[in-house]
Amino acid sequence: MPRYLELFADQEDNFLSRDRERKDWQFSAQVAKRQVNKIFNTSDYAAELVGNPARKKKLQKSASDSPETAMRRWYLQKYFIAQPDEDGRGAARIQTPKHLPAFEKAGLVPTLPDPARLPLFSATLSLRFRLLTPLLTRDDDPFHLFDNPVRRDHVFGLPYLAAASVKGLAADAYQRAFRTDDEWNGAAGEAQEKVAAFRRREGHAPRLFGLADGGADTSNKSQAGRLHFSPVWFDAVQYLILNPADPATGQGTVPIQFEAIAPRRTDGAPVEVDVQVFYCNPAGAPDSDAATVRADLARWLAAVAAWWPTLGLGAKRLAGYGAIEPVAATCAAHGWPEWSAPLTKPGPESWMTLAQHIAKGG
Amino acid sequence: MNAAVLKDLRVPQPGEDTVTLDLVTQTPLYTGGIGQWGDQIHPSGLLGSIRYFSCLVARTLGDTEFERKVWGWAGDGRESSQAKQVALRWITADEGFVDLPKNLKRPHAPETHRGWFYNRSYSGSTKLIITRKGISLEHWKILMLALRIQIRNAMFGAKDQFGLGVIACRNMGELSVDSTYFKGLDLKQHLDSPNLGDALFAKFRVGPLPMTNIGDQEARIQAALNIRTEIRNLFRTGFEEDSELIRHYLCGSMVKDSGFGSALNVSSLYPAQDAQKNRYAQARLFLLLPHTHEPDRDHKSIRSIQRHRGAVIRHRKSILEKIESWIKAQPNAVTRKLIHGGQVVDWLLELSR
Repeated sequence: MPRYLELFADQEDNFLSRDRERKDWQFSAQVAKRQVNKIFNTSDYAAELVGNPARKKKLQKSASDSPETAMRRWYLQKYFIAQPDEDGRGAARIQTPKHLPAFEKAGLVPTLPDPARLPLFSATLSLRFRLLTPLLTRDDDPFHLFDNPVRRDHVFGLPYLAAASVKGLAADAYQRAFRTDDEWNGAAGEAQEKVAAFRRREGHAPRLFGLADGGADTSNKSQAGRLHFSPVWFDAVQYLILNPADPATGQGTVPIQFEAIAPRRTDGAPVEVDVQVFYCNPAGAPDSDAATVRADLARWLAAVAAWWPTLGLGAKRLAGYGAIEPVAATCAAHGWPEWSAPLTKPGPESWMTLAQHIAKGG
Repeated sequence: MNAAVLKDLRVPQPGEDTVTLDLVTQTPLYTGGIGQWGDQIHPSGLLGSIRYFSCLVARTLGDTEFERKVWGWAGDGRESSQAKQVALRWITADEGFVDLPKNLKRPHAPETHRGWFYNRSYSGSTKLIITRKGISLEHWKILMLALRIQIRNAMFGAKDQFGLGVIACRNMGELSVDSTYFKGLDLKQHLDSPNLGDALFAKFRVGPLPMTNIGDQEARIQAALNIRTEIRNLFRTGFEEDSELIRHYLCGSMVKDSGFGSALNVSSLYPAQDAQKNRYAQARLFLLLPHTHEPDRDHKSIRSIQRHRGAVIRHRKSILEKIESWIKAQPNAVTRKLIHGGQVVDWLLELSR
């Protein structure tokens, strides 16, 4: 059997069976959009949803007015609302991606490299956090039933926070932590120019995040960053709704549904995951001594420790989504003086405590 | 190398960059949800109510830039978008959610009743952490003032489950108000948008004094529905063909294509005490007339909106007199509204105390 089929060997349903469509909430979302135009029998569709005759009549009308809205309502009540009453009301329901076992079986759970196999003075950091509020990682998949699905891997369907997003959030935290007000608020120029100017001035940032050259401006050479980021994988999904009010009526207009990463699993356990980064030190290059590496990492870790718990992660974090609480931080290094074994700090202050420990040096 | 490598680290400064409010619900708090079930606190719902109220205060002070500069703007092709410049974070306890009575009867017209549906809401302690990003100091001061007024006099969250959302703050001192700054403002009041100059706030006692047991949730919420009905019924007569328009605008209407959110907000009962430390059940009321903006010319319900809004604006003085008269007949009643020609800043500062 081809290897990729082995990964799905645990699935009970035939890949093409309609029954699978009903059991697999992720598969349903993928096909539901094209089924929107196939609601020919609105009576059957409405009967499946509710038993209340008045409500059924209303649904028949809404299906003919807007099949997409009707299909979204069906989908949410089927998979993401627990025991909906006859009016479709009920508590939010969390779902687990179906192919999580296959993902794990495929050996794709991210692990950090062994620092001993990295160049001298390189290090790895693993930052564990608890997700406190739903995390939004909006994708722009045009084939999803909803306009705001989570970003997910296209093979296994697992939701994740992209490595590029983690880097961007870290860079934002770093700028907040180490810029001066004059440097940002009063400075002229586009945002990209301000970022480049900040990184050149600050000194550690080009090594951490890299620096793009000025294009035609050859006096500033580009530089690759030494920090390598990984995606953060999740296994719990829920739906949220935003209902902006029409200022002319004070009433909600068209509700907007968002798929989000849930802060709790289906068994109620809180979601705790790791942000994993490693610093690959280009041994022999300028500024590749242990003190420089430690200073770089200490500043990076202190910045995320200071600002991520305050601002959160992901989209709409300023509204309160993506709130996190640090749980633990672990650092392993290759050849740092007086640092032989991985060091772990626990608790809500663990990230900052570890940053200060790294900063103290030998 | 030593910890000097972190000496220029900038962390959120309490009081300067962040304010942490220690809050507790006086009535349960509801913020909507995918199944219209109050099983989670939705940050966006709370942000919406804080945004709305703070913009009322800003408009009262004549600040036309507050909404975009503080809460952001998506842009419209002619002007570029602006990011939100304040972050909100709510911390709630998982075990704080309570069941509410499913369906309460509310008197609708004489000898008829309708129902109001409830399910679950949050009750207990919560923390709100507000972090200042690029907001100006002046706008930060307006936001702090607005939060004080909203906590003291109004409600938070969604109104689908009527009567909820009264929150008390245990550390109001964190929301400092710079009276000197506000008294020195050169105000340019804008009367074409909803602002607190059009508001009426009230608190009054329901039931005997003293009253140590103010009843279970059902009794408390039922009281709010009864108050709403009494006030609504004040407008069954006296305004001829405008009576129905006024009732719909005042108390909300779900009629298709001519629906309104309610201008009248009444809380369910919560414990209060008088100067002699006697405990009793209190309700609060917040009314904004008009509470909606002028519709755009191409709004699909423009005619209906203009009819309703026009009726309310025509009869605004009489409407307020009727409601105030009703409130003043309630025991321990206190009402606050901006007197015509009164000092706006003094009015807002009084509301914040």
